[in-house]
Amino acid sequence: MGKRITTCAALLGTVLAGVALSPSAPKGASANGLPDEAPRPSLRRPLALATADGGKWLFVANRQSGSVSVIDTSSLRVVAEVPVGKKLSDLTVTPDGGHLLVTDEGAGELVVLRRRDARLQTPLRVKVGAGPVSSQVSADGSYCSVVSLWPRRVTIVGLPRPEGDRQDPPEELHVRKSLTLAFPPRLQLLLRDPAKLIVADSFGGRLAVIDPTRGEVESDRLLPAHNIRGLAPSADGTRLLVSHQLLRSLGTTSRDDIHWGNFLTNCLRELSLASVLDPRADLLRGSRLHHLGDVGRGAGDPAGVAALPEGKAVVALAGVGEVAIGGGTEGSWQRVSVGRQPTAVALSPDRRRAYVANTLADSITILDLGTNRVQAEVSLGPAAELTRADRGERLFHDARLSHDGWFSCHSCHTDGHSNGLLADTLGDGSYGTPKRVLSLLGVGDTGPWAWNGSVKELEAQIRLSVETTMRGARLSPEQEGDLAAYLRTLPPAPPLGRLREKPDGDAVRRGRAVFERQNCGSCHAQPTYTSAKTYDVGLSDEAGNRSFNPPSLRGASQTGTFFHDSRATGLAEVFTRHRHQLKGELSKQELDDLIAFLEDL
Amino acid sequence: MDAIAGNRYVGIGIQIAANKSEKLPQITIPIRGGVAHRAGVQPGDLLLKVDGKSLEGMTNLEQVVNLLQGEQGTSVTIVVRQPGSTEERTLRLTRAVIPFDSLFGFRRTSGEGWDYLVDREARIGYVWVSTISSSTLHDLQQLERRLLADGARALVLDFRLSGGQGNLHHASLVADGLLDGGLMWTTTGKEERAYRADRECLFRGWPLAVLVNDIGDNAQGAVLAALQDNRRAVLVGEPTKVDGSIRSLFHLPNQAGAITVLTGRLERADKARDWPVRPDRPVELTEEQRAAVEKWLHTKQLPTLPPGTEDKPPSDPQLDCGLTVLRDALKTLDLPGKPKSDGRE
Repeated sequence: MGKRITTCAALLGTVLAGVALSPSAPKGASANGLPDEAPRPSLRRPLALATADGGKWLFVANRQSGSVSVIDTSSLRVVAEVPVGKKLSDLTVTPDGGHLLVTDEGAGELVVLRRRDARLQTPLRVKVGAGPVSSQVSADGSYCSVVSLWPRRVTIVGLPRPEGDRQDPPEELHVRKSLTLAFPPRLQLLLRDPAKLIVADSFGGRLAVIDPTRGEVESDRLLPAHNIRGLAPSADGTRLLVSHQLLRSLGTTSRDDIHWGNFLTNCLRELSLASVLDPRADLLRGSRLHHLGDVGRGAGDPAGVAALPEGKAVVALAGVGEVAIGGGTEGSWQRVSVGRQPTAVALSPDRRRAYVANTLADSITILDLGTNRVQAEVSLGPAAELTRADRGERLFHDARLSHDGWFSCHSCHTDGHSNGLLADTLGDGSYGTPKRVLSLLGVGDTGPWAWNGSVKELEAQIRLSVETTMRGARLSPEQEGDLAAYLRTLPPAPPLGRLREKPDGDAVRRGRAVFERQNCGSCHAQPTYTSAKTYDVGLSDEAGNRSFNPPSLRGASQTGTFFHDSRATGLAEVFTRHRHQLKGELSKQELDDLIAFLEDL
Repeated sequence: MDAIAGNRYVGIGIQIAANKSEKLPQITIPIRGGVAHRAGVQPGDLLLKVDGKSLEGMTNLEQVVNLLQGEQGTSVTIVVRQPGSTEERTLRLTRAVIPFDSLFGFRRTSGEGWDYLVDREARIGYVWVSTISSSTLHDLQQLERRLLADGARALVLDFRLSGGQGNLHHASLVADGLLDGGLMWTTTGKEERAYRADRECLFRGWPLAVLVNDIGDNAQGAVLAALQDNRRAVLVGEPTKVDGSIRSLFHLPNQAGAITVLTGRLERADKARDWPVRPDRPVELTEEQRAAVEKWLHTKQLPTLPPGTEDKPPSDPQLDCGLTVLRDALKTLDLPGKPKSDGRE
């Protein structure tokens, strides 16, 4: 993926440099419904939606093209597509409608655009740390919060005053506060009253509550959940709706367990907001779990959620190209087909329509919520031809690869990383021996694969995973190659040590010396910090297996737990509690330095 | 056999036995909502022919099953008659996935469903867990949805006469499903493992009562022990006969059958307790009561009530005690959803 994005970004860079940021649709463009210039064929990958002017306009953030598309919701046509950044991740409209907030994951920026009708002008940009993935605006529009994935950072940014009292010189964006979380976050929800910020884990099930004015984390608790991809308040404001997956540590990947949803299920959880906001409460108190799929019809990878009255909701089912509508007291769900990989859902202000962003179809589906039927599917523009890796990306997110559509590769290897859980697969030759799900970031050059290092080709591992973990139909060699091509584009997770505000280079240098003295490199050998053999390092699983292939240490700082069964809950514990292959004692200083070095890989 | 344990059995949905006096296989139960039931097969029907082949004198049930089995979507023609009748009926059936119900409600409804509410006023549900298979956790999830829609807030889980398949894996999923975290049990022997429940939990916050009697299936016993040791349910009834052994099935060469071998032991989470699982509230049944309860439970598996019988629960002091336990628990329970208890308006 790296290569393609670079090209794409370079292209947009030129556009931005040359034209600053002129909206491509003049006022009144909705009359003919098309922007002035015919859009270029490209892959857009829409993933965030917001309406403005009482629902007249629908704004769409496109990840891959770095552009914002504007749809006139009466004519259902794209009236503008504006280049905004490198790799967009979220989009929000301020309460007064005057500004559009866009997070640019590629540039590490929050971009604030002045808006009138479909026109977007005068971007203000502020650096918010690597990889911002979501934004929310306060009820009064005076500030927003931006969540950055790998640095685990929440940044509170003061926003320009509404139009009307515009001043010269132009406003600037001010970072008011910045705080770090203990987990990589993605989704967030800024409540109005009380003004609290709820932030969810990007991979696992942690949920933090933050006071945005004081900049303090009030609670950080764990849901039995992973892959949280939807977060919304219920229509009456008493509940928090969370779409996620649930992997049972006692379930296996046998066909029976997958068939009956014993291994992994796709859920919408209603939490009592009172329990969420009370730091001392059991997070699950008063909660209810809805199963979105059923036997014969899995609901792989639930994503964006929009709340409807009476406790009901619309939930995008990204892995199966559908949405589920229903819930409430009765708890029954109706399913409607939309486009490929629907991830985001927005409602029209009158709640008569739902807009669904089909990320891998580059289109928006308009659903009539009176009849629960598809009204239209609006294409965002001509598509570029897919590369092998693009086709692999589609397969990676396709739950139809698994038996009855229960889950995709992404379900456990969330965004190519890991959900951080244990899964009892046949990868080690038996059930009853659950193993930690490994990150696939950087996996292309860390063979052999599987915990026991038994698989020599990435394509063979893919084939095995689909057949024995997902219990799906056999892939064609073409498909295996496409998936492998996609995986090879995934770079290792960026090391936490380098994302900190003040990286400590000296500690890293001293830690490298400890690493060398301890001869860690004999198994975790450079440059990938792994090696091809298996080793008995004094660990044993439930079936008595003792030889494991060392996982790569690249991105180790972004791995929550360690060893095959997650018995170490942090890098420090690997050495303090488990004394992993230590030759003699480590001083406190040596331990800190070693961790600094590992967090720099 | 594996397919049946997995509850994905493809067929026409019948249970058969050999009728020795007629020297014919007999359909004891057409499974409710299954292909045979829908096509008009009656309980007790004698099976005369399968696809034109006469079954006269064929009491080897394995052969009969082989004739009936086939791929999903294929058809099979059977000829049946009621014992003592000469009227033969020819039925053409399309093989489909047959769901084996593992859960049964309190009363039959007019359709094919069940009414699960045993006490409408106190809003207490009832379910008979007739067996534990790979579908039971799923079936319990469906039950929870139904009970929530019905407004229930407590549940009686009846494990009496429950016929287990001895499958510890399926049992672990059910125990996990009912528990909000906690150690369930540990195994020693061939597999050394601590079985822990995830925090996801069915019937969250509901008081549960479990009815038990002399069941002997160790996998089911493990579920009961886990519920008791984690104080998740109050066990009512008689002591079980489970001994905490783990037995594995081994197939002998040359199809000489199979034997079970002791391969390990279950250790209870509460070290102060041992096997067998004993009730928290011992309640005995008289011979008559027991016979009536057994008949009432067995009848639940029939697709329709036999002519002349009523769907009337028998005198059942164990169920009564379970209900009393739950009513008392509901009185003192700090229920989520009560505005006062969790601060919601």
